[in-house]
Amino acid sequence: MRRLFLLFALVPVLAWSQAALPRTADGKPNLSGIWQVMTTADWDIQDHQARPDAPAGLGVVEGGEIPYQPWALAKKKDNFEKRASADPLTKCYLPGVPRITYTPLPFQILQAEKQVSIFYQYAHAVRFIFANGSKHPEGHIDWWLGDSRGEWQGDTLAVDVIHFNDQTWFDRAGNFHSEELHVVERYTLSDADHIRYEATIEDPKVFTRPWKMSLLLYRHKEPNIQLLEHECYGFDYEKYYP
Amino acid sequence: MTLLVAVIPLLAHHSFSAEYDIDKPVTITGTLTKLEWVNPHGWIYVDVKGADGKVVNWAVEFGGPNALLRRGVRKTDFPLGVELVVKGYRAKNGTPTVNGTSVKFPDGRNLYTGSSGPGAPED
Amino acid sequence: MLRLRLRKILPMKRTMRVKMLLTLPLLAGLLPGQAAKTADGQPDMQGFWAAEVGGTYSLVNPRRGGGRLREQLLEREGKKAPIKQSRITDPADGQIPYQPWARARQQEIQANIDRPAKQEYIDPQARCLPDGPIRSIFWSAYQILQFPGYVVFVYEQNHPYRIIPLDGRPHPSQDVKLWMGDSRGHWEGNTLVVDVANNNSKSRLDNEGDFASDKLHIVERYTFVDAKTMEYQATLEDPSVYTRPWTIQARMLRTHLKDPKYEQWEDACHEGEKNADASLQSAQNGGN
Repeated sequence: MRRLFLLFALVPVLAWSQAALPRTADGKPNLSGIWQVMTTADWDIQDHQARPDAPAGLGVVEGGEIPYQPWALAKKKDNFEKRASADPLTKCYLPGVPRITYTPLPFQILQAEKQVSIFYQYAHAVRFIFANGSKHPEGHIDWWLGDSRGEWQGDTLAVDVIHFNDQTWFDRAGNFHSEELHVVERYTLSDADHIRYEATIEDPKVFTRPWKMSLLLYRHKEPNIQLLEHECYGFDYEKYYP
Repeated sequence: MTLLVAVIPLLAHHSFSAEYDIDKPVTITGTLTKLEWVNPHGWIYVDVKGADGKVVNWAVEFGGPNALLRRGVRKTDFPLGVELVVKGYRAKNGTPTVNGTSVKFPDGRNLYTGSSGPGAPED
Repeated sequence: MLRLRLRKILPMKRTMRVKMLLTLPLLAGLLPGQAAKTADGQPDMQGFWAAEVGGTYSLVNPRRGGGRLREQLLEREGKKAPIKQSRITDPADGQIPYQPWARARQQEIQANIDRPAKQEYIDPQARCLPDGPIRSIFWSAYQILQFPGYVVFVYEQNHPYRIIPLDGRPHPSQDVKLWMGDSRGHWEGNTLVVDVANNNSKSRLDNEGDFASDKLHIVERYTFVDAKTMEYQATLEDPSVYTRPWTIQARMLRTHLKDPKYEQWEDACHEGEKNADASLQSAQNGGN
């Protein structure tokens, strides 16, 4: 009798949390909105203490370890030593995927049935996630943000990303990849104001096995919230114009 | 009444006369050493043997690669070491740099080039 | 042909004729473009568009990119570069109504673009800086996306974007200056009216030195004429640079129609840009 009561008590709770997800006309969870991370992954995706160039923070790598091949671990350490000039973000280069998700800047997702568009405040970066059943173009293409093809798996938007160049880092700490990088992102609305974001990383040239990052996206709820600009490569030239 | 449909080519980024010299057309033959398949302008590098026997590496600028990518052309279609005949205009700053208007391969293929100027298909 | 016929039936200035042509169908209650609407009732103008006459070399003498080099090459062949009619329809002389100091500045920049020995003479577009709302629309094709409460423009080259809310919210403080300005839109029938403030104006208006200050205010009108045609109009106001407001008009046409599966792809720019510094070096070293 008690078990049945508990079961009945759960049903409205489950129904309520399901009903709380905003959905589009075609029944999918609606990811549209302005989002931003609170994690310090942009500085270092692993647990790290405070540094002159980084706030302390817990990492986003599941299991904590990044499974580098031995040569690659040495390169990562070298990157770390040279990060003040070698981090591509010091030149305002596009951050690659998934780093573009966790820079300390907001981005706006605008979702349509066959295409999810993401507009980032960072250097007017744009990603179109084609969710129309189309395939990646033939390879290899050297893009900063890769080519993104998405599909809904239940209430999760799964995005397959390939066609990267080897110029981006995963963070300021020098974690890196080759042009064979393959990322699978998963966007899941855990409630109306939070997205659980996961990125599985695969790169047989650099790592011994796939590994995964996991973090939260928070919805901006300030009234009249909007993106502004972060045209960092223009900072040195602004003074000469108009 | 025919409805016009706009066909917009990749328009030039900058004033070419600032960097290249229309009075210095050049044709060079060399072997491909490197490809930079980047925006806004791609670059190919060719080793050219001069009359004095010395080898000089020339940089050849061509248009953004997206038009080529859309036609199915890939960086890997151009093996390093292949011999190329390049026509273009020489840079004003005296370096071995060319704004390429045509790049011919031994098999007769012509990689369209030209960030802007006559000859580029989009013109 | 149509233009000649129209000129006979409606013998008046081009701007008047355009205005009349746009109003008549509205009066008749038939506007073919009205058929398609988005889920929230906006006229549906999504897809790829481009200016009928593209190119950001000049507003007053528009022609394709390549500028002086291409013109020189054509002149050598005894041909004239195809220069089109001024995009400026008001004032009637097709010129930008500069204050005298501003006209002098524009001419100074124009005189130096082929030999930019100073940073300020390098075209900001050559540095891959975002082109601003006016210049962007003539430089490349662009995609229009519409969502509940928003119209978004994404330009193909260098992909700057403009997210335009339709809910009437205020602009941020005018102390905030943006490369692409800050846009607020609303629909009037088949016309999207966009108010653009917060312009940093650093991208200038074209390659031959036309410019505005950060006091620039723009009102754009995108009128959806039929399924494949838009008339674009932009009125620019900047009392610190011009003697009066002035207006650009241009026709926009759908594009990439031959390829229904066309996708907008990445078009990164400044990461690979090398030419701007090379041309500066060349000019400073006395390159001819």
